[in-house]
Amino acid sequence: MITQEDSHVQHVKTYFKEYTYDMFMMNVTPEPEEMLLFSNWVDTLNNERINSFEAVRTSAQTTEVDLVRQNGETLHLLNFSSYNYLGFSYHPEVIRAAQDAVAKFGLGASSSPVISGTYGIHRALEDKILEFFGLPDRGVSLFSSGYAVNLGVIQAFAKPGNCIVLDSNAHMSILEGAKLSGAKVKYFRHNDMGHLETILQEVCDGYTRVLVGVEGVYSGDGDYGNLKETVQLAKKYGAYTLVDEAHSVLVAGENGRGVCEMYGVLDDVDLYVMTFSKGFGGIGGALLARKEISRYINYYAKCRMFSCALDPAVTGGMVKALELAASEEGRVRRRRIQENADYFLQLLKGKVNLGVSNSWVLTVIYGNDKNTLDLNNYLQRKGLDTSIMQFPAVPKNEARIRMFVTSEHTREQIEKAAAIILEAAEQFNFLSN
Amino acid sequence: MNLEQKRSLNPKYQDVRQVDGMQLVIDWNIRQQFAFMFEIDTQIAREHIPPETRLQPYEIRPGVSLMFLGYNDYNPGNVINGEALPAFDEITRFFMVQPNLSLSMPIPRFTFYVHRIGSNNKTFNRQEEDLLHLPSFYSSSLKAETDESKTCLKVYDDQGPVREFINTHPEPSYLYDAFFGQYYTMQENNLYFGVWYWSGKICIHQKKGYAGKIYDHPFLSDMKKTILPGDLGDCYMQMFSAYDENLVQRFYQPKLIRSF
Repeated sequence: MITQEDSHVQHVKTYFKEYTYDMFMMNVTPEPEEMLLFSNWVDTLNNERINSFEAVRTSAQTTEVDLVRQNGETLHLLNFSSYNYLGFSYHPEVIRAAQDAVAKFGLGASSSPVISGTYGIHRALEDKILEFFGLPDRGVSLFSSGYAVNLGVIQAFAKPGNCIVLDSNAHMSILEGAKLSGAKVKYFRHNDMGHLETILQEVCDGYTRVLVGVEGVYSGDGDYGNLKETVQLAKKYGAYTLVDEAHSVLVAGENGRGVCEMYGVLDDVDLYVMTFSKGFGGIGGALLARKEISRYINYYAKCRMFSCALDPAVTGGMVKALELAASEEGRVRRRRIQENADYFLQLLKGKVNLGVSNSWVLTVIYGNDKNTLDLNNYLQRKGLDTSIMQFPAVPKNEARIRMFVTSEHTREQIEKAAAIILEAAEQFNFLSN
Repeated sequence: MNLEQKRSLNPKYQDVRQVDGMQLVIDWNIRQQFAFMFEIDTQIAREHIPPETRLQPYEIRPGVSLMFLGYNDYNPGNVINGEALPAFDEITRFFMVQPNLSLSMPIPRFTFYVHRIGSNNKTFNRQEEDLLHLPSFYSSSLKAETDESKTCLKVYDDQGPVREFINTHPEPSYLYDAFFGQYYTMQENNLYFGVWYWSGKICIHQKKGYAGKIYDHPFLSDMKKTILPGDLGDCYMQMFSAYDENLVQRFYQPKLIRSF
């Protein structure tokens, strides 16, 4: 029998789950109250056994993983929450190359890349990137994180008096780089070329330099950037383009050169940003640009200049990952990831709302933000690990389960995952009518 | 007060008479409400929030803050000092700012700097000024009507149109919600802080699309030139009720924070 008191406690818990992390982000008073409250919130989620975030993995990001939640519980899960798209993070040849590099160069680079932190292995990676893209006359700037590439490149490329026009779904690293630059920042509606053109018309005469920032694959929706028209418009109005291929480099395009290759605009993009943490399976990132731009970025991107160079082990691993991506094995893995994504979509199509995704970043929109904690907890307890997203990361009441399909998932794993999603859809009432 | 204590003040299940020492002073009943949050340049928000308040605009993205425009259609029978008011209309204009999380109250959903309110009821305006310290604008002929499509609400008076709200959700659904919020307001070089409570059935969404405009009307006279009449651009979030909902909005006795 449920007493009135039990009912009240349940209601209070329900209300508590409605908090989102942004509600703790600011406080007007001197006390760090927002930090205390946020910490308190996390403790409560742990105590109620519904906190599925920051759980510890006990092995590599393979397609099935064991994890330990913050409250000590251990779960065995199908892994659709890692963007190790081509499985290179645990590829034996990549690991061996990393081991060889660490044995030769040591653990860390121990200096800024412009002082004494650039090793032979870094130069090898730069050369390998130019070779992979078939653009030998370009330059490469290596960074120790993907986030830092956008932060440093945009801050160095644009200045006060310039204008940066960004897709409204652009990644936080692009937004923060734009803010750091001191340039005027404007946003156009996601993939809306009419809106982009309206803004370019407004700004092209009033600012000394205009940079348009977009992505190859948008990580929140899993859709492709409209790169062909973006590049055409930028050229028409004399603007520069930055394309972040974080989720598409090595994966999209016949040769793995990204969505720019798919749309035939690789030669026309001014600033090509890649991340090593996804298709490459490592950490870090790089800018591919005209030689004089990359040389300038090496010195004027402050987070590069004033950070230690990329670590040798990862750099060695990335060289090998690029070799693999350029080989027949790379082509096979690229084909397989697309087949896997298509198969997963086919299993769910017409049964749940799949949003606008047409890549290996799959979304299932469950809508109600208030279900997020319970739904994620449910999915993990059923054996599926995903990357769940709610407001403010996505629009209000358009909360979604995001899944990263990899080339290494088996058909059986995909079928199991789809079955869990459909069970959850029934349980949480988000099956399509 | 820790979070455990704060959440025990769940607004949905308690009739909260006082918040952090502030007594409940007003209880309004509203039959229809529109509240749209438009994206604006943070610099523009700063220009409309006096710097001496030290309030910071709430940013949804680097460089982008929110201007909140509202319309309330009040039920007949709301009482002020024993006087039952007829139905009347109100328009509001706020800027979103950072909250005060140090109080003994549930986490506020929104915190506003109140830039101006307006209505067609003098008694209401006087109450808003005297009790809540809100800057008000009076227009006896203020009214609103929905166009034939039922998606556009136009607010106007004898001097012309004031603003338009356009619903961008093709199939709105209305769900019960209840939450607390906070506000700041300046009156004669005094900064006040207040708390409000809201409950009712409402549609909240972030569907993109053309969401309305503001007109060159005396209600805009205190705005800086950085916000010009015309289309308002993207609406970050829309909140609106169906007609004839009994929405509740409560205000607690505001506190004087600082004098300048």
